[in-house]
Amino acid sequence: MSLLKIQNLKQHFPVRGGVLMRAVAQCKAVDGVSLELGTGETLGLVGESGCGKTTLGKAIVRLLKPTEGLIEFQGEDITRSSMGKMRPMRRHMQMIFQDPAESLNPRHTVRDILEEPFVVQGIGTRNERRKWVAELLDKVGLSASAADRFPFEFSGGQRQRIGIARAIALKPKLIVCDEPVSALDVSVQSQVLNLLLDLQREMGLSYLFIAHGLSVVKHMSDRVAVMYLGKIVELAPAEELYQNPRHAYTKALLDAIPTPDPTKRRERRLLSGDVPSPINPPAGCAFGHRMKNPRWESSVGMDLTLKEMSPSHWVQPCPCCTE
Amino acid sequence: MSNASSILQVSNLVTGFDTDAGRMIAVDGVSFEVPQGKTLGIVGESGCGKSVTAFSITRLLPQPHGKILGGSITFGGKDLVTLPHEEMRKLRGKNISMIFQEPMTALNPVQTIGKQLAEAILLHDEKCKPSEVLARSIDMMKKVRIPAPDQRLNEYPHQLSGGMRQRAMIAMALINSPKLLIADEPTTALDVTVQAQILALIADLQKEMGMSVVLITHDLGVIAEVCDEVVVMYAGRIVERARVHELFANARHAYTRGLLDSIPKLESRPKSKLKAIPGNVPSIADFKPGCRFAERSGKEHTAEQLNTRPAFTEVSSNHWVENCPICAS
Repeated sequence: MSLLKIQNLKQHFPVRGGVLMRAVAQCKAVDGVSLELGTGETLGLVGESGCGKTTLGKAIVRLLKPTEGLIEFQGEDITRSSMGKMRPMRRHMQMIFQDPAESLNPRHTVRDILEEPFVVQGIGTRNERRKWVAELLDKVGLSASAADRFPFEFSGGQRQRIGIARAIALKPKLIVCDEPVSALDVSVQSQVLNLLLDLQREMGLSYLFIAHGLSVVKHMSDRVAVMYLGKIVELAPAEELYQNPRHAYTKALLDAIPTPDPTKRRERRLLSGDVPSPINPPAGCAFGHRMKNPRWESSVGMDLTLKEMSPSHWVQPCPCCTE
Repeated sequence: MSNASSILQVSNLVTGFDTDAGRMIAVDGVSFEVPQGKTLGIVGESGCGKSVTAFSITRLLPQPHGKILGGSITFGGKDLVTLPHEEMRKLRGKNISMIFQEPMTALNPVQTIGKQLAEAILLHDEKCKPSEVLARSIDMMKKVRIPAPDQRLNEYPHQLSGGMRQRAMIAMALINSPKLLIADEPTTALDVTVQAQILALIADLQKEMGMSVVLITHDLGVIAEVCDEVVVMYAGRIVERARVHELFANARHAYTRGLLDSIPKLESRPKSKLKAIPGNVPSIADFKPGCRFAERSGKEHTAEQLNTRPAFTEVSSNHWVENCPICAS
């Protein structure tokens, strides 16, 4: 049985306007996503900014109220669970954010930050919690003396380690990592990625790993989902996706990665423009529309649910982007 | 080392900041030159002095704390270090331009793109007629491939996407056809797809306008894509300098190799351990006189190696390394 299962998940936000602030349009940030995640597995999620990756992550850990669809965690439907009902569940699902400088309270010491999950869940005595904080710091490679310092006293990489320590404090089963290394230098980035890999092995964690750096995602993931304008357009095992991309958007993303080898410079097929607004997205295949593909029109009105093209390689079957 | 075909020569540049805790040397004896019409990359982690080097060249160091303490920066036969402010101002935005990492903070949020472009023109050409200002602005917007330029000129920065904003900033920087463009992490805040567009755009405009570029980045992938020569900085010093092919094929310094190894490669096995450089760049207050990479290299250094600055030597034609006997090979 999978740890997490989402079906046709939609997260729409009303766009308000006019004197009465009525909803005049819907921003379809996540628009019908189905995914499964097994225990100990990492599912990578890539796409450009504004394609709904973060919203999907937040919806999964129920920091948002999904508009439609189903989220099942450990076999339990949590799509409509109340805050009170979610609280015990939150032990098992945590999140790591992109910018540790913003996600750590600057007025709290590292000890306050790391004790808070235990306090919120009402676990342990003062002394036990002190001991656990020391253990957590050790686990993420920080010295015990870090506990009495404030977040600003640490470098970006160390701050991200504090964010990770907080996320693993309650021994969760699932961690949503939202661009955990995008703000870090390459050398520090690899330290943090190694730490995440070690913790996964040790604690049997499952990750939803969100990033726009494709080489990082490939390195961390068992399977990778490519997202465009609120929808998954391709889903495949990491190796397969990179060797055999089927959807034009995946190909474009792969093509844009700079190769760290000056002997392999090449002409690129550049993607023009940006991700269009998810308010009133085009009908049919959104990427075909952006590329002005002549065959885009035939995708309007088509059933664009992912199809399994080869074993465990799922692609959106639009005529404009998939051969 | 001076070379007639180079447009900018930085030699032995020392830049420091006066703080309550004393004088901090952020850039400590840095020398390089930018060949005419080529791209020089400066790479290194945050806190290595890349941006301070750039701000020294444009003389935009935070005042009154930032000071150039030694060395020379020769551009077009003039030493920028001793140039009077008035003359420097005439040079800046005309002959030397700069673009920054975060266009949202570099652009003025309460002025239209058109107004900001016009300002760049009028600062260096007061007598330019309004009709000509408009024509030049539209022409430049077309060059940076902003669709519907006449309409965009009347828009404010917040109305543009990240990639468009970066294009607008490039338009402002290049409107006076500078000879040298300094780009400080121009694509770090952007998506990979937009990054590829912006890098291609800079390369095209460089060819078209014949300018030289100094590209500051922490991404060796970007360096490999667009640079001709590379300077690797660590803790305020250059540890290695070479042509791009030579650097990627024969990196000599342990820091350069560490940076190269820590990039996740598309060919590597998923979920395998990455090679990482342990620790962090030392804080500026802890910069040692000798080999500064010592504590992260994982190798024992003698007291002498920690206390005397390693010589910067040319190990092969045009390939220079900070020659610490432990860290350089």
